[in-house]
Amino acid sequence: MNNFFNKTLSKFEEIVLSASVIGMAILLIVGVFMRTVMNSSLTFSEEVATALLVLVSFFGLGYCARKGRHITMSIVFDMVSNKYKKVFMIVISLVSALAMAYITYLATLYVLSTKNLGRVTPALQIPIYMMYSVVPIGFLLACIEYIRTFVFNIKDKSNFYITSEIKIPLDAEIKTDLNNLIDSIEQNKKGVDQG
Amino acid sequence: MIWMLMTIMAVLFIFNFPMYIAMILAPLAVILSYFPNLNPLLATQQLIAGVSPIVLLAVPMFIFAADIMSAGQTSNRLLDFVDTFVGHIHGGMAITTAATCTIFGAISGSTQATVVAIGKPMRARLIEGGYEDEDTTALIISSSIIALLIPPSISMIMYCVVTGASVGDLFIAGVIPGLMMLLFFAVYNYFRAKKKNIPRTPKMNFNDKIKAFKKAIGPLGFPVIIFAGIYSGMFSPTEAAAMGVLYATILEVFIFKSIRFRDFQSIALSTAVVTTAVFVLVGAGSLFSWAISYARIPQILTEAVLGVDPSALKILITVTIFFYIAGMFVDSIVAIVILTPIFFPLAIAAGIHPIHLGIIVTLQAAIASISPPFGCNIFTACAIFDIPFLKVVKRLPAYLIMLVIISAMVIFIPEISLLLVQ
Repeated sequence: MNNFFNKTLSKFEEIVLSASVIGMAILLIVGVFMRTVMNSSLTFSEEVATALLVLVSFFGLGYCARKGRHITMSIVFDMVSNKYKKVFMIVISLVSALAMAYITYLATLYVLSTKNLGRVTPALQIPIYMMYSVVPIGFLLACIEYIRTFVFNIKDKSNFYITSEIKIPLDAEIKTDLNNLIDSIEQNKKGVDQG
Repeated sequence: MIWMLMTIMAVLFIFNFPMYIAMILAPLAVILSYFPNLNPLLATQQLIAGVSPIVLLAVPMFIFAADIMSAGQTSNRLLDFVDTFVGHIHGGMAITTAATCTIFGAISGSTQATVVAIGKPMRARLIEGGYEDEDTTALIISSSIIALLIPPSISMIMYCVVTGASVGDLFIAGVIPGLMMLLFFAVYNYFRAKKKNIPRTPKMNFNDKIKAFKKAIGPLGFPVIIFAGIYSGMFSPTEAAAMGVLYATILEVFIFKSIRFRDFQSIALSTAVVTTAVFVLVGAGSLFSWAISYARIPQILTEAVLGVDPSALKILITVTIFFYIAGMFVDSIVAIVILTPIFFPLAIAAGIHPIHLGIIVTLQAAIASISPPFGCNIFTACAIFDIPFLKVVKRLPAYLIMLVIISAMVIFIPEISLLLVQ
């Protein structure tokens, strides 16, 4: 089960996200080329690029949460002891999971309502709900990630989890702030993978 | 209502919640409890609408271009180039650092990327060249914020999306304040190096200069493409950013041969992760400003803080203080998407030019990011250079004083921001 989330799902998200960025770049570059050199504008290039941007913005939520990449203000978190850090993470992950579940629900209803309206995109005539459906999926992935962080924090008595992937022993001495802590853990992981 | 909004946001921010969750939950709570007739499903519409403006596509493209160049050789070539021209004068290496940060800012548009790309190689050289560690770090983090004013700047694009101002205008308006910062820092370092008797490097001859220029001509073409492309009307900002990606790819893959095509997946992934983290905030910001304008919170709040019909100067000073304080605690993008909708209508009504306001907002967010105790660039420097906080901030006051002087000039002399704007 853990393998599914850490390896399979992460790999899938990585491919979707990086392909979207590369696709966005190619579409826009080709769009400029067509407009300036060939004198005929590609009407769909900006449309698809915008759809990819919506995809990256929301589909990546779960991945960002798992890698600890969401922007936070960690001033208070950095000052408290590890025991309280654990309490923080339990509360944060629980509240975040509930919030994400509610927003997933809202977003699903919204997507269904746009489906009933039958709107399509201007250039390619693709149903707009297909483009929007990444929003509830993204929130759902984030919700799952926060639930896992919550469960791991409750189950494991000797470590605390910043995300489901990043765990730190309760007796570890932490000198840096949260962002740099995550960076250094990621660096170590890469080192282990290569070595 | 306002208290509910602010309390939820503040509590969630302080207790280390991901900011996007705070920025979604707070307005949602206000809507659910005070406006039961408003359909909460529309919140999703706002989240999507927030990330859909075409000009926003420029942001991931600029980040992508910068990520490609950071993986390659661009920063080192730029350092060598600037060094051959100013290395021989007093404080030459320090001035090189500041100037290179300015040029690199024109490439990456991100202050933290600048600290990493320029700060890392330059710190070793500066210390070897006789500079004190405290001076070095203060110089590097102060110079890095020039990137926020020099186009392309992601904070500036955000301001334009929120307010509807022209990205091209705001970009060009940032050039003079950005160069002013460079000039102030250069003069300060000239006299400081003279006083401390820091040895100078020998003057380069003409041939060396040509050689260094040839090596750097590729990276230097980047700002030219962005500027010329946007101002000739050939490219929109989004297209210019996409051309930046193409240019960076050609440069690093085919000319410098420093990265290979198979590295692109990991480079694109790092771009995507930053994009997600930033854009979910942009979407949430649009939900936030939709909710507060529906609840007429900007009017209530600005009347409470500023009174009825305040003068333009009073508004500008209030904006400065608010953005400075907010910028110390939260990312500049968050400060801009939350605070701009509150002050913007009032500022326009008082006759303030939207571009002038945009420069003030960006400048304050920039200065705040290096202000102790919480400025995020200070922590970046602590981590990258592995040195304690107190050592990093020891020589910062001199820079902060210079930046306060520049702020005052920008506030009181609108021409600094508006001279290059038609």
